[in-house]
Amino acid sequence: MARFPNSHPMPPELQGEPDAADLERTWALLGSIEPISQGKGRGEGEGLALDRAWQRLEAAMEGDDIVTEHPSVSLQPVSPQPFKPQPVSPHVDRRQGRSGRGSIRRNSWPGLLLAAASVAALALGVTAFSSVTVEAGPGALTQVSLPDGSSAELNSGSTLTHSRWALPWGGGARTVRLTGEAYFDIVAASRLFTVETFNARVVVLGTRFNVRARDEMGGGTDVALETGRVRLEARSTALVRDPGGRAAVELEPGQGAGIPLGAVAPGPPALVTVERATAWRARGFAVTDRPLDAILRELERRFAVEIQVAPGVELGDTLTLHYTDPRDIRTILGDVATARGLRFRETSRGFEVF
Amino acid sequence: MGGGEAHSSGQAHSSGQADLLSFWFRRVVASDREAFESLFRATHDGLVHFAASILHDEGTAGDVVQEAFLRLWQRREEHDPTGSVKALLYRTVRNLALNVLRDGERRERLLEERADLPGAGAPSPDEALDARVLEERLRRWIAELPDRQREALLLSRFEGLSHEEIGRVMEVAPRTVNNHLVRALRALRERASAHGFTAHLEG
Repeated sequence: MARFPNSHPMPPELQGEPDAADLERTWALLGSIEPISQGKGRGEGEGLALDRAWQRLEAAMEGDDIVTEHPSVSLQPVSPQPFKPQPVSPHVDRRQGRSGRGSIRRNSWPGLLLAAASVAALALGVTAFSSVTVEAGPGALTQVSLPDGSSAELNSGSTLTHSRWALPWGGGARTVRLTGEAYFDIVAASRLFTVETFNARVVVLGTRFNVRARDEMGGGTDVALETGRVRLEARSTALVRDPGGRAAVELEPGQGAGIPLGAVAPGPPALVTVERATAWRARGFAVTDRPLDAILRELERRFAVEIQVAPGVELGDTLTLHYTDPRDIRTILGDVATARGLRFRETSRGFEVF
Repeated sequence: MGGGEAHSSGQAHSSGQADLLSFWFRRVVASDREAFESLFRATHDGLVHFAASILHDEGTAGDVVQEAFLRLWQRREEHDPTGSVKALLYRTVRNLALNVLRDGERRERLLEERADLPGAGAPSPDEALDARVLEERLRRWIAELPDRQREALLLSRFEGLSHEEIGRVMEVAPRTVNNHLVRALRALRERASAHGFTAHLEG
């Protein structure tokens, strides 16, 4: 068998044939003509040819016409996708002047108990010419309209960066960057919509889903899918470490999956109660099996308060809480304290748990 | 992760390459140009050879492959990054090449040219010992295989695609790919032993 180079092994399927041994010899015999090509082999000149081929492609990618070295051949024309920036979406400008008002979407709640709610949702300006960053400050919820007609609702203490235009070419058109938590309602389109977080990428077609990406103890990126279909994959840094890994899972409606902080791949999809994952949208508060530390941080963000923790309080203990309606922070803290055998008191800036 | 599969070293090599390709592909779908260049450099020559096997013209084959990569880049966001980029590229190249064949009157010319290939005269025993002769013969015999068989053989033996991937390129079931391959290999074996290359075929 060593007579011929044999870089591609015979496929395992052929081993099942009655004359597998003969097939294998014939397979090996074909190694004498590798690489198969018309005329020249893959010699030194080929590297240069490859460079030239790449340069030619790069030129075409820049929008130039393909340099056709063989004009006698007519290829199917490349479907034209000219650079076509659309006018700046009006919502971007509108946001500048709508501090606070737009931060609270639901006006049907029975009286808002939170002083924090008066804290405006900050609509930040532009981080770069081509992208827009929107922030929901502490205590605020903010709605974002995306250039492609999709929308997102940001939880307190979250930011979302999206491209200003729906570019046909730029790659960023349907990709947004999320820090924190948001609920997305994505309009269907032929192109994939992607949410990037610090450790994950959520790839979707038209769908509604929640993403929570908190880079903190007990955090990570968690996705809960309401309708449609999404794929959750680890981001490139994780893939570099584990290029062969199946770093993606697909979710069905009613399922959730997450990539915990420090993990390189998503956990398996599991049934979730989407109403819980999205309770924050109606100013409810729901956490499932999260460490006390993460819960207190979430309360800080949601209610725009500081919560101090006395030494000795075990922050790693996990807890599950679920309020569908808006609650006063005192109610929630009281329940947390009761569940953990702790107490809390009000301070000038917020609360202390001890 | 399929864990627990035993690989021969050869298979481990090609599965390592598959990992790399799918890693680049995922980056390409996320608009990473460097990954695109890596993918291009790793697969370009194989694609040109494959296109040339359909078109019998390396220049045109190069054009077709350029077009295929350009389309891959322009529509990168539409692709499922977990799919096989090899299957995608080879299928695109194949379709483009077949379009070129269909479009042109080249087809008739090609058929004439193929008829002009030197006939398979009975080899002398001396010839049979000459590796260069063997190589030429093998090339000719491959060229004489039915199109589908030749295509499956080239993609499997020389481009390293799996049955699954070839099935997607040729738009047939993997089982059919296997049939084409087995028939191609048996035909080549028959030819080789009829022409006195038996020494090469004995274990």
